[in-house]
Amino acid sequence: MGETGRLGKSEMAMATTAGSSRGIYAARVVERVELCREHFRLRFAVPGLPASGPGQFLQVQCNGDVTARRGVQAGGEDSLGSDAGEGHEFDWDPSAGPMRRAGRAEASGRAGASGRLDPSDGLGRLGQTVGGSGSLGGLGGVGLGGSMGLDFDGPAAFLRRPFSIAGRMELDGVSHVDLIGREVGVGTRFLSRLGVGDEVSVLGPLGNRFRLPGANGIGLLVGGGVGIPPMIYLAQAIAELNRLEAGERPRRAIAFSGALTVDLLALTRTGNAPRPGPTDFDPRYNIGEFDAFGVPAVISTDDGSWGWKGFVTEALERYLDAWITDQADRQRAIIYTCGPEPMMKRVQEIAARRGIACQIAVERAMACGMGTCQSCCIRVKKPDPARPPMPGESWCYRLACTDGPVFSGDDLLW
Amino acid sequence: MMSQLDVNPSVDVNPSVDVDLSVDLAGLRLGMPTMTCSGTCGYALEYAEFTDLSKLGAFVTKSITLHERPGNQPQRIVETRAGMLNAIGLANVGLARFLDEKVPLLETMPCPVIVNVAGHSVDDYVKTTAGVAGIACVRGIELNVSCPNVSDGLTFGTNPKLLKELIREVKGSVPDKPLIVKLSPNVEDISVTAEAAIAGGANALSLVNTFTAMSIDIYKRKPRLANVTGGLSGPAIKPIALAMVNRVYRRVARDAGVPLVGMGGVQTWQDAIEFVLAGASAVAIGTALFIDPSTPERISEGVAEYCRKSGSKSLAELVGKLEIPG
Repeated sequence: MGETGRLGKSEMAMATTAGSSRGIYAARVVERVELCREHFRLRFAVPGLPASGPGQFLQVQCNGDVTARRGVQAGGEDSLGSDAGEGHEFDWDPSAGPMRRAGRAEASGRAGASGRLDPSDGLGRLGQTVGGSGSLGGLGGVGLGGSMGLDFDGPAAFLRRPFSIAGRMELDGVSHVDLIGREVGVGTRFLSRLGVGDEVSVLGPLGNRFRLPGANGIGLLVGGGVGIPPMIYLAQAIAELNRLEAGERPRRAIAFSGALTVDLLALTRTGNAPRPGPTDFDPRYNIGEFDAFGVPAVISTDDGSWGWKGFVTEALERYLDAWITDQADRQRAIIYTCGPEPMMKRVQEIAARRGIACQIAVERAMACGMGTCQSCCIRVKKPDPARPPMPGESWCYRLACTDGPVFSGDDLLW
Repeated sequence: MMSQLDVNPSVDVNPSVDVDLSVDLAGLRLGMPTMTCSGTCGYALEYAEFTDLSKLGAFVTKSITLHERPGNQPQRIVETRAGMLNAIGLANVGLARFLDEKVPLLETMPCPVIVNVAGHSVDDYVKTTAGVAGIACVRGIELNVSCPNVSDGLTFGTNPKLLKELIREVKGSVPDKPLIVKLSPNVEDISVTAEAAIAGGANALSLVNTFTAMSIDIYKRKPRLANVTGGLSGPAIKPIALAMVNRVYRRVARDAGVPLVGMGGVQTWQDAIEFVLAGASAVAIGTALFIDPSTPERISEGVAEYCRKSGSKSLAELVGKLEIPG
């Protein structure tokens, strides 16, 4: 228990697999890509990371205590510092007391430690109406995109930040995961400034997973803004399951992704632009992230700058009404969604009205991710014997971190 | 390679010298000087995958109340500079389900278990304490007294008379196990409530609980917490907690022979040593667990190294060894 996988003081780069046990791992940036004006994707090598699935997330330490040691040779005196807090004891007077601390450089990070309060953090949060619902968004933050309602107070991020896994691959026997972020506060600012070779501490994988469609099923992957990343991982998982089953009644997946405007679309466009306007909701193989898994996409922008003009939820509705109309198709379809809360609520309605199963990955302000801080509560309909119901009410709180983040659309009351 | 621990490389260190880190907490022996803070570590085994719980001095459960509580509406937490606010509202499964569902897990806990009890009346506290005090694996009780009393609205932990009466009543139902009282810092003079707790029969004191605080969304002009105010924890409060531990130690606890558990922003072994020098026999780690559940283990390692390098055979001999000039 806990003997492997956790980072010791000197094992930042040597975290080993701990079977199925989750833990804390060193994650080294191997690639950084600007996806659009605001979103970036980091690919991390995470040796030993236990198995994960779409919907799950990692808690990423976004401050200088544990991280950002680009170019520091292992074995140097300050190559450790994996102990949170070790870098920020300003009140130690080496000349006082019976002992002196050896002089050494502080291993504090390059980024996120500027000590500067950026008022745009708060504004950025208010204005982060990313995703298909555009003007409806704002308050809830972005779906597991590292904000979770926490990411605005400076000068340095204290808690970890949760990020949905956006994809995973094994390269040369080492697990690699993709995380997609958007700079909305001190934590994500720190992350956005990481470069290749930098290391951060990640904890996980945490949370539950999307239930994949059954054989011959149809997955409709509806993502808005920073709710898009788990949909990429979901597309990957569906493709891998199909490959595993070698063409036996394969599942189909179609991605629906929305952004305010094309400059904020956190995806790689590969041509074959759809006709702009509110008529073209035909899926096209024009998004690199989805095309890689054989998944066509319907892209919407609120301003019509690329693809369907309007909300992604409207494009979804049009598609469903055109193509998923008979009972058999509705039975084998599952709508998956992650993004701004108003968008997800709308998707929930659209699915319920048509009797289509719906799985929703929620976002909530979250400190621990491990079920201990009890902060990420969300109301569900079903009285659950394992959860305290509000007296006289037919709902109860469940935790987004351990009961979720994926909930059934039938249960979720928000 | 131990740069984290290089307190003084010029001192000759013999790592084979064993350091006694054990703590006598009012008769309860802890192998390590580190405990968890109630409310930051779940009911039992939530962190089992992330750290080795046998390396803890003691595990302190989340607050248990007589009846289930769903807790406050979200938003329940806010990050602040070097800390966080929480207003969870004592969300917990209640005594009956705690006994059914959580105690079997606690029976497998590889370190001593202390159950934290909260309530809104003396009767609540007594009944809940009596309900858990007889369980073999429960080695001590910690009282969360930072709740308002339903009968008069006064907070137990901030009213010395009420506090003394409460502890006297509760101690009657836990005569043979240590009763630890967790003090609120939201008082004029914490040594006064400490004295009242000891007079009431507290066997040990833990301090401090969180500081009442708030955070405002200036764009919405609304409090960020649904509960308006919450409790501030994390490194931001450590220097204040340290001063309070030292005050209680010097004014009350030392002479009364009552051990203190220092808590409030403990995140590093240096923090722990500060609390010990200030008068704490053990430390408890809370908010830091959210970031790294293995923090207590690392702190114990660092504390041991500090003891070796300073020539101390035991941590106990450092308790209260703060030298105040003049």
